[in-house]
Amino acid sequence: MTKLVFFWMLLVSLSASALGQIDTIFFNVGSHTEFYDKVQSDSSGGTRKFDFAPTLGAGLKLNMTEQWFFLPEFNWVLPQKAGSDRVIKNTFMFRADFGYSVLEWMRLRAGTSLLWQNQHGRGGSTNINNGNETSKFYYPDENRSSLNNTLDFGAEAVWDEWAVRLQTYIYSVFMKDKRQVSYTLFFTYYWDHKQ
Amino acid sequence: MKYLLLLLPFISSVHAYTLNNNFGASFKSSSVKVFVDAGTVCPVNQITVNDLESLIDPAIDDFWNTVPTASLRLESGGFSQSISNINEGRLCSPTDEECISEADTAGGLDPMKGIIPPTKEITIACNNNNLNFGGSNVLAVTIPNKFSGKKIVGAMILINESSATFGNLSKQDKIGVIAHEIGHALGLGHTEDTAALMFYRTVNQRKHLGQDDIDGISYLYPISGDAFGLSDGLLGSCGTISTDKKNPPGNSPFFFTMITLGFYVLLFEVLRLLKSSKARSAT
Repeated sequence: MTKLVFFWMLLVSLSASALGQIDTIFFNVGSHTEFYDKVQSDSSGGTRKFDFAPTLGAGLKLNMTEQWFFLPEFNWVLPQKAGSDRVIKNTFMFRADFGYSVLEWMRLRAGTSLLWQNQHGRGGSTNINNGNETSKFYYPDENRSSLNNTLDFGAEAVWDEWAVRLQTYIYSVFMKDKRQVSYTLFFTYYWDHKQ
Repeated sequence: MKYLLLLLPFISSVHAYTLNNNFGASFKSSSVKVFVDAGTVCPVNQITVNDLESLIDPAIDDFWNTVPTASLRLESGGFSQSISNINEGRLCSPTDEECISEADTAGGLDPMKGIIPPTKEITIACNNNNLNFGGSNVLAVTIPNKFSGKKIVGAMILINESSATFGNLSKQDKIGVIAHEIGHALGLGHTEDTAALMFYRTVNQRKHLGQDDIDGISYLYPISGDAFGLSDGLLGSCGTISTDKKNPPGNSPFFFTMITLGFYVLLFEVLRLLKSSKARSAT
């Protein structure tokens, strides 16, 4: 993880310093929904369309032309706890987009993410119904992570230094049965530090 | 910031997935086959071996094979060679001494009531030995019954033939039951979340996995560097990344991140050069 963060920071700083074009830093607050419409959310067959999973992040806006931008960013879906804190899930997004201003107030994005999903199991057990009796089942007791590369598309409505963005992430583009789409709704503040 | 911290209690849920053993056992390979015992018979539930086999594909393709954060890939293996006492034998966990002792006694009197020998991967069959189920309302039981260290080598799913409850279910519900039992075979335990497939009761409208199921299968079979769904061939994804210092993370994800981000920087630089050469030619 340290290696990955270090590499990410190195890449961003190298490309940015070479260009000397870090005009704008942006900060994200949003909510992340994993696997849109493919997660059962109740016992009557309903599926989840929106999930409240607070997400924080920050990134850089590097101007390539007046209309084109390079937008590397890092986001963190805040820890999701389950089973009285026996399992804690963190999702980290290392991502970068190319952005294009279609209109003065609208920007489209296309890019990719490395999604790092970590589950921290704290062990322990619980008794749960098992047929006609209860049985002991166990909580995970290790730290394990999944890494996925996703193909991403986003659309952003911009006014002044604020923006609202719908960011989508397509998992397993080349594998039909595992293909899923997650999304995040972001509120973004663009801070032009040279002004 | 303090307002953001106030949000934290809202992202905690009471329920979580569980595992069916205390050492987090899973299959060593993320590619696992599901078979139907060729010699099993299910007269009480009025289903044939072909009916049973036809439930496997939807049970794996609609549920367990849909999780991109898991490396697991299940396949239907068709029919496996029949086990002689599959329809009447006793299914015991290798660590359940009481069950093994009872089965040895019964097997001495009638070999068909002895322990069902373990098989490789996952096998489904019907069985009429009441002792395996503990009641006629129990639809099926699953026990991983062959291990190598902390890895599951084989698991057996038995459908209860002491009542016709399973046979009376709709096809979609039968698929849900088989998918639930496959979840146990893969190493998952029950959850109390009614939306999850691993909830301890069947629900009528079972269409997708719940969040607990997705998290559980991703924990047992994590994917290490899924390159847009091509990783099986390109990077040889092989499951667990442990943060245990004895097992440091593999290099594949790091390698792929380098490639992806390096591509971005390269593209950015090319576009920048094109832009500056255009500007020069204009002047």
